[in-house]
Formats: sequence, C-alpha cells, structure tokens
Amino acid sequence: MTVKWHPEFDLLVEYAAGNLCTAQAMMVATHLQYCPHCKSAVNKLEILGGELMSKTPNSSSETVSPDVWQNTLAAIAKPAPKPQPKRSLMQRIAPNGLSALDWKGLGPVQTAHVDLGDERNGRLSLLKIRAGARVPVHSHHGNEWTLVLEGGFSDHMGKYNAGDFVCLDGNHKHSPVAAVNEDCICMAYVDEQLHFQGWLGPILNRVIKL
Amino acid sequence: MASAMIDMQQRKAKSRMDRSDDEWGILLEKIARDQDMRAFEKIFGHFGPQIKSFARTSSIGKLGDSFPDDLVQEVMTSVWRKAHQYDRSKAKASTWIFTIARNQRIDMLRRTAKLQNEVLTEEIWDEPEIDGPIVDVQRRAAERLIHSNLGALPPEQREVLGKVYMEEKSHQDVANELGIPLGTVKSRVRLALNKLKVLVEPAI
Ligand SMILES: [Zn+2]
Repeated sequence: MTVKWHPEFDLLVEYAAGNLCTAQAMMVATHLQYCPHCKSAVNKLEILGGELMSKTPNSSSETVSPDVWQNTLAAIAKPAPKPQPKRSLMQRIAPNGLSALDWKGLGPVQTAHVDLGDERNGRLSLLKIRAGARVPVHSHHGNEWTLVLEGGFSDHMGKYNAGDFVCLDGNHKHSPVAAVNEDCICMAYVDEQLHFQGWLGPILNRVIKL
Repeated sequence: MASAMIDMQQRKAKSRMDRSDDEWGILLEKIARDQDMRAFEKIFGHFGPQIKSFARTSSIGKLGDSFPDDLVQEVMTSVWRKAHQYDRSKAKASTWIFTIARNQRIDMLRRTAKLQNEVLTEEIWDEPEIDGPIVDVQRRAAERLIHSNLGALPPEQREVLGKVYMEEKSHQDVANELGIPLGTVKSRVRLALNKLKVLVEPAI
C-alpha cells in the first residue's frame, strides 16, 4: 500500500536542515521509512544543504586558524571511540516491544509516552486505538502530527494507513475512528497541549500530560 | 574533428555518471584507501572554512568564539574516520560532508543544552540510502540542477533558504524576523524548491 499523506515540504526542509527537535525529527524519519517519495525529496534537500554551505556569504573570507588543523591532527592520531551500536527507530522507541511500553488509560484508546530526552518543543507518544473505536472529538491548540504505524483510521478528511502522516493545527477539530478489522497504532507528536472534549476528554488530557 | 567532439561528449557523460568530476569525492576516497594526509589537508582547506561559517551563522556562533572552531575540528575528525563509509557512486562529497556537519551541529547543541538523549543523531538523520539505478540517475540530475540553478534564485528566495539552513531557523522564526506572514515565507521556499526541482508532487 502506498503512502498517501505526507508531511508538508516545510517540515522536510527543516528536517534536512537539522532544525527539528528529536521528537519531531523522529516523526519525520519514521515516515521516511515508509515513503520513498519524501525520502528522495530529503536527499535532494541535503544536496541543497551542501550547495548552500559552500556558498554561505562569508565562507570565502572565513579563515580557520592553523591551531585547528593541528588539533585535528592530534585528534585523528588517537584511537577512535567505539561507535555506539545503531538501532532501528522502533528499537529506540520500544526497546522491549510495543506491549512492554507503559500504556496508560483503560478503554478503547491507550497512550504511552515516548521520552527521547529532548522535549524542547513538544512530546512524542504512541497511541493504540482498539479496532473500530472512536477517539473523542478534540481540538488542538498547537500542532498535532499523527503517523500510522499499524492498522488504520479515518476521520472527516479521509482514511489513513501505515506510513500516512497527518498534520493538524489549532483550527481543526476531529474525532478519528480506527478501522474495524484491527487495532490501530500511531505515533503522535503534540506541541503544547491537546485538548480533548467529550466523555474521555478529562482522562486523555491527564494521560497526555503525564 | 567530429569524432573528437563525440569523444569529449562521451567523456563528459561518463564523468557525470561516475562523479569523476567531483574532485573532493576522489580526495575522500584517497583518505579512505591510503590514509592520504595531503588529500585530507586539501579537504580541510576547502571545507573547514565552510563548516566554520555554517557554525558561526547558527546558534553555535552565539555560544562563544571557540565553538565554531570546535565544530570544524569535530567534523574533520569524523571525515577522516568515516571516509571509508563514503561512496562516491551515491553522493557528492559536499552532500556527505554537509550531513556530517549538520548532525554534529545537532549533537553539539544538545550537549550544551544538557539534554539526555535516548537516541543517536545518526539514527534519526542518517537513514540508509535508497538504491537502484533510476534513483542514482535522478540524484545526479538533481545535483547538477541544484548546483547550476541556485545562483539564479531571486534574492528573497535565497535569503529564506539561507536562514533555514544556515541560521537554523524554523519557517515561523524567519517570518517573525522578517516581519512577513508565514505563508509568504512558505511560498518563497516553495518557489525556490520548484525551481531547483526538489519538490515533485507525489503520484496519487
Ligand atoms: Zn511521504
């Protein structure tokens, strides 16, 4: 199944430029694993980064002192530190599997906070929506990004499947419904606080803030 | 005469295919293969000032005078150590070094912000390359196009790109700084990226 919903280009630009916080970048990077289209755009944006770096207004007059060269020579003469093992993004998010995460909330919607150590702009969570369940109507004060990892859901805008990236800003209100045949697992990034309305609202507001 | 022309064209086409026109890429290969110190010195002389400028215009420049130099040293040390990972058939040297500089700028900023990171920068920012001959050909075409068209962008589009990449600003930050609506910033970036053929609408 091909991905139909993509992050807006400005997010890809900020990702390629290295300006997103860890939580935001994790959302975009995970989308790229599903989406060769955005992956290729990011690759071009990195080519652009190299070109821009070579043409920064003052780079032609910039000088690097000989000390820096000497220090670099000293640094490369030392043995390289052992590289930390690279892990996949999902291993970082859920090292012991999704079910081992600290899921909060009873009922059809559960959330697990994913703390990557950098929440300067917002928070990352995983959301599990039971097959066929509806998330209470909520509106957004900041931005909410959702990336479907497994299963699917729909709202008044359309249907979303694995890899789809949905961005909602403060003007939207929505009430997503999980697909009936399987549970839906999403990664969600929220800057500022999400405000849930409806009967589950108070619970979710508390859970998301935990 | 005619055959010489064809010969030249063929050589030109070939150099486009294998990036033998990327002298910096060839130097990186020499570093990887022979630990060639002279190649490293040339790379340092060319990219060192660029990295310093890149650091100085970003928030690293505000941390103190020594920080841009520290970034140059860290990035160049990584270039030396990681040269064996560089693959000239996959990327221009300038792209590869940009991604290292970008990642180490992120790391340096996180360190100074005393953030406890649970995830490595290169796990999030260095995704495995996409493979395949078609993608390779497209990537080379993109390199040529971006290289030759960047200088022709209107100054206001170029300015916005510079602020996002070099000064590490979000589109919203740029809008606030220039006193123009966010939509205007986004449309300048979009126009620039269209001209550079970076944006292609996804097939639906
Ligand atoms: Zn995409």
